[in-house]
Amino acid sequence: MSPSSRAAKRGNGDGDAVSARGRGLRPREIRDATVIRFAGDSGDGIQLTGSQFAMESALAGSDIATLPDYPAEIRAPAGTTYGVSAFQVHFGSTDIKTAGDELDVLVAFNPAALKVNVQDLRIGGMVIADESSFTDRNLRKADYESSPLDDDTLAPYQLIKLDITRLTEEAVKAFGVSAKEARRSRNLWALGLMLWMYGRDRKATVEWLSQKFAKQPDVKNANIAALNAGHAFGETAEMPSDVVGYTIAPADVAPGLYRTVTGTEATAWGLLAGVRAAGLGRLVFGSYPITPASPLLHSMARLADYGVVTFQAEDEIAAICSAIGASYGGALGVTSSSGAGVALKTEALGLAVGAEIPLVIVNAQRAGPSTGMPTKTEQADLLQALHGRHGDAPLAVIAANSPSDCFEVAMEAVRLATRYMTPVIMLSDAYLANAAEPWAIPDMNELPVFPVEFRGDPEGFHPFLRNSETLARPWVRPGTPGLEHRLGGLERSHETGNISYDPENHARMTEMRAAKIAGIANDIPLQAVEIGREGSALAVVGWGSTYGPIYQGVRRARDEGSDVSHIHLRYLSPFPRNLGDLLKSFDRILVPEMNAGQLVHLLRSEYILPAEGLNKVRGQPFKIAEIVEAIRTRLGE
Amino acid sequence: MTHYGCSLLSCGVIDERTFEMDDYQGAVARWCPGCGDHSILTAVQRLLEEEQLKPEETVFVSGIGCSSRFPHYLNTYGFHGLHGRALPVATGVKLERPELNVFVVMGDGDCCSIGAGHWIHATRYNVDMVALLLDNNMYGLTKGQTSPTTPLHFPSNTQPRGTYLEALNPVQATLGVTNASFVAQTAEWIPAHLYETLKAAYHHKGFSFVRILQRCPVYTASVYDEAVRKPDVIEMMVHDDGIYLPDLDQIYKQKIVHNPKDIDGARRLAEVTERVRLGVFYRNEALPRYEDLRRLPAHTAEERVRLLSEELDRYAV
Ligand SMILES: Cc1ncc(C[n+]2csc(CCOP(=O)(O)OP(=O)(O)O)c2C)c(N)n1
Repeated sequence: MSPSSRAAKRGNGDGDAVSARGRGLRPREIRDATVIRFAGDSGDGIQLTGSQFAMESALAGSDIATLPDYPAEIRAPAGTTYGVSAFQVHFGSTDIKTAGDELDVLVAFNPAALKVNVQDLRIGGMVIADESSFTDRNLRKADYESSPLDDDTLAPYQLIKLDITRLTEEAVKAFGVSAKEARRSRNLWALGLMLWMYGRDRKATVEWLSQKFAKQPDVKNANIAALNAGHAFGETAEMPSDVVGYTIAPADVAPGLYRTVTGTEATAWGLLAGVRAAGLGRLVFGSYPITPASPLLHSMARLADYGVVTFQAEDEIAAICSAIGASYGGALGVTSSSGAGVALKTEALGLAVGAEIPLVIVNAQRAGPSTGMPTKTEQADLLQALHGRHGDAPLAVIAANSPSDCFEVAMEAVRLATRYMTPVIMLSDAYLANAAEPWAIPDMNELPVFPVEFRGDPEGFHPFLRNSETLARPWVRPGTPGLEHRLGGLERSHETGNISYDPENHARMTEMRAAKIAGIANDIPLQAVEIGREGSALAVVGWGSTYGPIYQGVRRARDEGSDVSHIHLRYLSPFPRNLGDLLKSFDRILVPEMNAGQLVHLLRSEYILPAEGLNKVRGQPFKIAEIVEAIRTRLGE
Repeated sequence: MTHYGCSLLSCGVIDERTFEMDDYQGAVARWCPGCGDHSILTAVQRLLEEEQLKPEETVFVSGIGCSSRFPHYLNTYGFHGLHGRALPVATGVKLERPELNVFVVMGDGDCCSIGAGHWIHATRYNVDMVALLLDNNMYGLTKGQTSPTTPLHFPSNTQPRGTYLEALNPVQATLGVTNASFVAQTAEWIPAHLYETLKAAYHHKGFSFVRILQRCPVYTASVYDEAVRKPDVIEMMVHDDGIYLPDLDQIYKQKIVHNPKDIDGARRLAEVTERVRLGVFYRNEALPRYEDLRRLPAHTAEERVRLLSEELDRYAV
């Protein structure tokens, strides 16, 4: 893999150079990790500000995790609480696995942003507020009776009032941009200040602005000037005297080439890497836009150069049917959706089970039922993934646990789909789709391969002959002479592959379909214990994006002396072979899930275990503290 | 449809096989005696033989219904999918394999009711394939329920006193869709015309929509009765660029010259009258085809790996 201009080695102390520069007049304090949230109107450029801050932090060698939180409306009425957009960055020299429980710093661009976010700020944390937007009108919109900047609302916190709007206007005056344009650079001024505060560089941001506004030099220069002015404001100690800059040492991560990756991007590349590992020429991606799955369609659409055909179908049904048609044609068909869109695909999923077609379905789960909360995360489609079809229609279900894990899980979905001739549902969620973290870029030439063999031999062929090891039927590319066959949803004779309504045969085929999926358990790793030990007093068992908070929560509880372990499932259908025995070794089992209790239900019924749920359905990830608290009460501490 | 690419056998090697009608014969058709689907199957087999289409390079995709059993009765590749969803499955096959000859077989419930959304969009995508609407004006497989094309007042199990609504006109609807490139109508009881229409559809480069008037002896025996018995009810649209069968002149005396390039004329002729019009309403090969618009850049596997590695490195930190 050839490093490009923006590539850099991490874990080699590069960050020192950065933090040594830009020291203000006051000495910097040392911090291990910090959580910052930028919040403002959905038109304030919050998402860009946050991601740029994350990027600069990653470049400085920090481990990071980010959590964007944006409203469902593109441009909700300005200044309203439901139009608030936020972006949270957790960065530090330690192992960062979540976007952080509590905020250390909240940058609020208006009263509404302050109102909906301040409760997440830790006592003593810092609020940086743009004074000039705390007008009577904006205060009313946010339901404040008096300005929280002037009364004692913010007494528990360290408040820094700055007239960011005016400071930005002054900084960009020279570039002849309109007052409106000038106001729009506020976010960059604030970004400059935060980059100063944490001793981060501005180079990547300047480069990015130069590219983005290459055709509008005035806007480009104004934005860069705003960024620099915010930085200089901190540097020249115009800040209140109790505000200091911080130094965060680079994280101790394995050396290698890293980039930040969202779950969406990692899924796209994982699918592509999987198709290559399977030796297939093409991936046909049929999809229909829906939040939060659309970004995957966007990512795939950019991959035409790598053998990806995207088809923005007229609806979700057409999307999955086109993927089925493509798989019949000899490509890998993939479809993605969320919520209502996945529901629409269920009939065709049954067809793919019956016709035994390789297919990958990516479900970026969101809070339901129905339209629910489209931009909020949840993991309430597990039972739907396992059982949401008519008839006995088993298929494989796997789940990713972090943004970068989406790469491996997507590859694994392709492996299982092609090796077992089955649809595979890959579960991710709104959090994973949007969240980002550093990812060690794999060497494409060193990834495992699992080449597909198309059948070419007409001797003794019928379409439902089974491989004795995997029970998979043969995959035949149309165009192969002598192997012409018809597939579809009608039941087939296991002996001839012809349509059959024979009762014995249907029973046999139903068993065969179940046995094929169950057999995957022999082809996946045994379930490991993430941290802790087999047979401890308590096992905390999770799946999907709860990985970060459970991991950190269990670690914290263990540091405090609790005999607790973390088990995290990637394979949900089938379960790993040893899962039942492993779980039975623990005194108690706690299953945190962002749903009303789905995995816990499966574990209880499958293994007859007294597992207990810890359920959160607020559209938000678990906090580490919530897990720690639950562990403490279970262990009577 | 067009022919590019090569089969596994013919690539670089001269393929000396010739195919007889029997080579296309699949399972024995199990439609009712007297069902119009039999003659459509025969005409299709004749087309396959006349055009010497390689069975392995030909795919029949269908939905669900009596008519959708079609693929089982042919010894080509076939996919018998979901009710209403034949077109998206066929689109997927073509996205991956533009070189294959793809035929889609749908019933009127299949195409014009549950699959109506796909019908409009497939017409607009204009993927190179032949779409056959086997229109018996009724739900056959599920035993006699009103379909969108059931004539007004015609009774069914769901509307025993006759349908309440005017029938949907599939030809008119298709002609109204942006990018429609081939629209024709024929009748299964006039085999020569049926065959010529299938042939024209097959040779058209783009999405060829053919509505085939099809008798159902069980549920709609009387619907086409008049048209079958009285040739004067039928008006043949003739043109050198469309279909003209002088042999039929003796029987079908009502003729109208219609140039298939003329979309306004086509739309006028598609309006319902006492006449049943057969022939090519519209044909335009200049319209863009989805698979041509979406053709992928040609890269070797090695180039793709290199490109992907570069893409991944782009924002490396
Ligand atoms: C989703 C779904 N809904 C309903 C059915 C039941 N169904 C099967 S075929 C059919 C209609 C058949 O009529 P048509 O499409 O006109 O075809 P024909 O049988 O007349 O050839 C219906 C309603 C089904 N198979 N799937």
